Amino acid sequence: MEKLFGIEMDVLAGILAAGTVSVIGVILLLALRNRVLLKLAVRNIPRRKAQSVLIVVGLMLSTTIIMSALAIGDSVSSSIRTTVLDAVGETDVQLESPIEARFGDNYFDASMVDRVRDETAGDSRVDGVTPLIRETLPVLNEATDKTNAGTFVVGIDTGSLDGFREIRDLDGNLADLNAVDPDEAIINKALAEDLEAEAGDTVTLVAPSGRTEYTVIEIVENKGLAGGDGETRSSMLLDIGTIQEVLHRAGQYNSIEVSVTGGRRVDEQDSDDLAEDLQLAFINREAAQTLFDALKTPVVMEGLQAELDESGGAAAGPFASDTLEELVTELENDEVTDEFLIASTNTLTLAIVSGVIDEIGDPRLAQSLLLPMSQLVELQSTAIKNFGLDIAEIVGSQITLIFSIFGSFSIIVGLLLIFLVFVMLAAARTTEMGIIRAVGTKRRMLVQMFTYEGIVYSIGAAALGTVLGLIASVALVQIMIGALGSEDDFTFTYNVTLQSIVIAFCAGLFLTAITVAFSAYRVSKLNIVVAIRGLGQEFVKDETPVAGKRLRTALRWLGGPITQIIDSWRKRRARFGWKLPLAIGIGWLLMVVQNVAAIAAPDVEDSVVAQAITAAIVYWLAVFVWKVYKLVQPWLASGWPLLPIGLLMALSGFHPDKGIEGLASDNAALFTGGTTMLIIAVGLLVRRLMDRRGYREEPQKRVSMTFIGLGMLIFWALPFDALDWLTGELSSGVEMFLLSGVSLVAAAVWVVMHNADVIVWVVSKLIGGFGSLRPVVKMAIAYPMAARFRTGLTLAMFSLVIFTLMIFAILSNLGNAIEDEPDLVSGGFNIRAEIDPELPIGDIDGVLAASGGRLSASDFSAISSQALVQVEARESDSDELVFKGARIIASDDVWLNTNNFKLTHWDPAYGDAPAEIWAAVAADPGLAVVAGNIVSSDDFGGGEPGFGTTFRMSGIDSDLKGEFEGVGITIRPPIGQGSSGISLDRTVIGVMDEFADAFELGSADIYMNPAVLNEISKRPIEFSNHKFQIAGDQDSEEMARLLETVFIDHGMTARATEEDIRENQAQNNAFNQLFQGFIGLGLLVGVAALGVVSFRAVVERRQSIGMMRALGYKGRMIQIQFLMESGVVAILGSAIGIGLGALIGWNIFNAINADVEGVKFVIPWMNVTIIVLVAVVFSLLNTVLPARQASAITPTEALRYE
Amino acid sequence: MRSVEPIISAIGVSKTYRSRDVIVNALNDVSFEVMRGEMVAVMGPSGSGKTTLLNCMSGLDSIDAGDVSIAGQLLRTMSDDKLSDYRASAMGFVFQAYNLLPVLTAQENVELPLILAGNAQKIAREKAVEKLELVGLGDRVDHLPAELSGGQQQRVAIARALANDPAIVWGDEPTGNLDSTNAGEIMDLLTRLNKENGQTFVLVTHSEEVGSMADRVVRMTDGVVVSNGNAAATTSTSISSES
Repeated sequence: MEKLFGIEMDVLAGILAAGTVSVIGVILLLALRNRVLLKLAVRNIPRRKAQSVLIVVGLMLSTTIIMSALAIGDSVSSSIRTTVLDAVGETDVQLESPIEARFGDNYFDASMVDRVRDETAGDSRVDGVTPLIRETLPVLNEATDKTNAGTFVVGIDTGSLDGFREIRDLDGNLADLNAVDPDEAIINKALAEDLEAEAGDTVTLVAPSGRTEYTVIEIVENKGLAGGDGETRSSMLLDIGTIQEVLHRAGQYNSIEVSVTGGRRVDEQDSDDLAEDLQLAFINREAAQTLFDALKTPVVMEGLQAELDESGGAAAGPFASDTLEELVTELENDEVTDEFLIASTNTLTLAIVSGVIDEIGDPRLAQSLLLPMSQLVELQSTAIKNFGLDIAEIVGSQITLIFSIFGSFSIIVGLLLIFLVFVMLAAARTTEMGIIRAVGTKRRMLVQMFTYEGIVYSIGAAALGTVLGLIASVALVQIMIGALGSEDDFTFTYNVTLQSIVIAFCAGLFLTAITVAFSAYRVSKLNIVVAIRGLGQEFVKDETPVAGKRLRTALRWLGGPITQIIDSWRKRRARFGWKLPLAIGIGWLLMVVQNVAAIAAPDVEDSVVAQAITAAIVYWLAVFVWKVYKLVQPWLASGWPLLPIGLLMALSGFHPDKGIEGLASDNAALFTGGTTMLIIAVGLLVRRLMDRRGYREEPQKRVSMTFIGLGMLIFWALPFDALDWLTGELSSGVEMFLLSGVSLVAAAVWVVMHNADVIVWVVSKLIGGFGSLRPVVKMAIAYPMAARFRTGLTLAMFSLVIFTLMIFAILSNLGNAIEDEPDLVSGGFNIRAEIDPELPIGDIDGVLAASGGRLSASDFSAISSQALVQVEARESDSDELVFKGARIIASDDVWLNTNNFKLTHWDPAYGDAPAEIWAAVAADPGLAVVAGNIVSSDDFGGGEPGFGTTFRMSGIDSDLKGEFEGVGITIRPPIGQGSSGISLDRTVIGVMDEFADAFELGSADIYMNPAVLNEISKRPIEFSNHKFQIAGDQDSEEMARLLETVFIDHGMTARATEEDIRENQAQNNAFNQLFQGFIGLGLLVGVAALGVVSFRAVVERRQSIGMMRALGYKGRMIQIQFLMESGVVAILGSAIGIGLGALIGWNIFNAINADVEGVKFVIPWMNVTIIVLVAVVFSLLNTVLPARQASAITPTEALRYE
Repeated sequence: MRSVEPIISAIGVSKTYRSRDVIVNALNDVSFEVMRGEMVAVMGPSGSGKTTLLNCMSGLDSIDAGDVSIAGQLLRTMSDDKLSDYRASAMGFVFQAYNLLPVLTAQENVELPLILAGNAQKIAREKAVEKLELVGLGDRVDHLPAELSGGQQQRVAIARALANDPAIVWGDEPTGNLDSTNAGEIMDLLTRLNKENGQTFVLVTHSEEVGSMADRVVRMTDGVVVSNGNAAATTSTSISSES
């Protein structure tokens, strides 16, 4: 991967490494200045070796999770990169005719090739230019009766292959590409396997001109020119002359490939530059000038600017940069610039421009632009390798992102564990720390001491965590490889980059160190007397200084660096500890001064120095804000100030349509955060009220805290759209998922811990009946309840992990609807087949009858025909002016009257049942049905109508299912396809559900009567797709193979729906397994937490255990007590996690179900049982050892131990 | 009250501790008896083996040689479980550091041995309150140990030790952490209980005051009993004259 969270990996790794080094450096410096503290800290580590090991293990888990997520992302990214590199080989830039085959002719003659050669002659970036013919044609091996209807046939110009020769045979030797005679062919490994062909065999190529035979002279790897394309790997290489003759294309080519110096991996910038240079060379300057002049009229400029202002340059997508903005900027110039030319070759930008022109409504202007637009580009130049690598990059970082989001729950749990470990470590050393404080050590020094010790653990933990993360990711990727199986077109391999390792190590260390420092800060607030007496204290409340003092502190920090300087100067009488702060203060002040100067003269803006200077100001502000917070904190805690703050926050999250103008900013996080604050405020006020009324503290606390917990629980568990009537539909990101999960679990644990006595009562009643267990139960409950903070934290960790596992288990089972009901996706047809449009089938039944008995028409209950045509479409009565990409699926009567696809929306004027709607479309060419994704609100796919390049309709509300009134759309052929002036109006009377025809992989399909084929193009369009419904119960996969063989002369490729569903399912399962394994790492954290707590408990309670033994507790009873303590937390945590997970899973399901018909909500009880069993059993196993240790303690030994 | 039949009898008991290379003979061929209903003080300088003697005789610790029998039962022949049961039903312990369970209230601490002995919750509660009242803490039943003073904590410990009306109460420096007033009150309480209930008390102590209140004082030095007193002849006055 090259980017993570939009930041370059190199930069991220650099920043993190620098940050880590400086943090460690500062700590080291501080440590060396006061070595006593360092000694005190470091000598603790070997004192209890087992405990230190345990701490490191507890600390390393966050790093492990980060490392695994990154390594999995790297592996996915690198696997796709390898696939891309294999497929494109040495080709870096590809030049093709911009005209699509259906509407024109995408072949060109040798003069174009010469022009490319002239352009690149002497260019050191280029090491090869070769013209090719690439066609997809059927090939068969008559000897074995095996066919491949979609073979990628490549005609190579043996005279100009320099730079493209990296094609090797199966032994690894370079293939001799010069020696391909007219009757010979080289085939790749994939095709050889398909055809069961060997060197020396004869294979037959089926072309429109007839069949021709070739002897296979060599079998080569699926790479480079023999690498196929992204979809099809099976390839055959022929001499260019041979293929030109077969296709009747003497002297013509359909692709020119350019190789950039450097083999397979080249400088990406060079590739991009070269592609741009070549593009400029193949722009029709005259057409460009005409276009420029036409656009540079005030009315068009105004229209473009308005469009730009409105959409913000809607061209934003992963690959379309904001070229519209560039186009508009360049139009300001007096002459055509290169930038204008490049911007105008962007098809999306052109689409927007023509939309704007349409809006202006001047037919003469529109007409004058059509010609230059269609003639603008002679050859379309694409940096094809970079394009593929970009996709690899995006997919890789998306995968890492998904893993990071789910993993972040585990990381949070990991951090809680670190906190827990340190709180317990501090508890164990309370007396020691009390004495250290008593002899005069400052609180700050205690923080330092703990931080030093923590940093040593953190470094060890980060290193160990990184190694373990690598091991875990190797295992997970192996699971994935095992599940995916090996396929020719995609090989999944393990890969991890050095940057990822650096990032994981540093991020892990950073997070750990921050948590350690925070924990150290908390534990340093001990009460010396309480500590020395060894009285239990989980947390001692911070003594709050009086308001006046707080105000003074806050005001003093207005001075920032100056205060720092004065403070440290005042302390100069002390032996040490003033020079460094003074130096820091002076440095800080200088930076601030510099920054003020920089604002006056803003030319140092982007330098690293400037960044550091800005950091100085940010630090100042942060310190000041913190002090102000400390100033108002006691008032905040009283509750009432939270009311206005929470209200303001919640209101500012409203959608502008519903909220207060100028305040509402459409932000779900703000709204939910504000509401949570309101709930807390009310809870605190209730407590105050009860206090006034004279209630005791206990009921005060219980009522108010339970109110807060339950309030939050109810609020966060509401369906996602429950409050839309109030707030409007709010936009939110992944942070909401994280926020809701954490809030829910926190609320549930809050309620449980503040009502623990109820649970205790229930448990005692349940188990207490078993007489001999009663003393055990008593103690097993007393300890966790006495250490509520610790227990609550452990419970929260455990619940969070189970919660994540539960949600994932539910989500991964949502998609199974297709498996149960394949007709949802197939419409009742078993086989989808596509033929070569050049080789149309006139009479399907005739071909079947002539198949020599292999197939007959009676094998099928329905055989339908369709044609797929790329068009552009827009909604007739919509503000959206731009025509966007869509696809017409023109279907014959058989298809229209046979399919049983479900409809989510229908116009009752044409009928109520789907069959009636389809029949209406069959009868009236003016009607259409659209695919579900055209009206989808895309809650989970990102994007909204009007955004991006794909046709979407806003006139049909995807949420309001059922009857609607037909909506008009306008359709036209894409620009530059020689069919200008055609524009068709249709009425959409039905919407299919999201699963329907999903294997056609359309992003915007419009289903119509075949009459459209004669209207949309000036050339006749033949049917090229066929759907078959099998009459009997024959095996559909076998039938698909037979169809391919029977229709070989038409280049038919056929797929059985069943096969697709199975493969889909296999891939999903593979991903799910990988994911579950990854989430399982989180479970490890939860289980480890229980282990840590148990181990600590044994150490802490030694004396108590001794006393209990003296009282007559048997060893076994102590053991059961420990197991019970863990068991209660594990079971309670599982219950909370499962309950909340199911709740949120249900909400997610409902949100999806609003868009997608037929999704089923299933609680996967099997998975849940396994999760709970694993969680509980492992927790208990983890407690067995400490429990045994505890039970083995002899009373005298324990009582002597002080 | 006091019987002539020994309830505790130790014959030739030896116990050795090994700490790295140092071998400490904590008990060296110790023999002595305690009569039923007797209150015995074991005294001696630090490191003389007093606490070890108590631990070994009460069955909290194992012995290397010799035999200890309690009410005629040889501890050596009892399993750990059986010893635990025996402790729960027939022994009570009071330690210098009180050793209350910090997470339980005073009443719950006292309840624990009662529940262990199989009493119903209600009965356990009543008995616990009764014992706490006996030691003068009837108004502190719901307090956690941290909320009690040292003297009060030791009283809770005594109440706990007495909960099951054990035949033997072992005390390891029961007044060691207390000021003289509190120590005196505790000792008064112990002697009163000894007199009223006829329970046997074995107290390890440094304090001559404590020793003076016992029926008999056993003195130890370097793991050996140097003066056994005489159960029949030794009176409190004669012990106090020793001090």
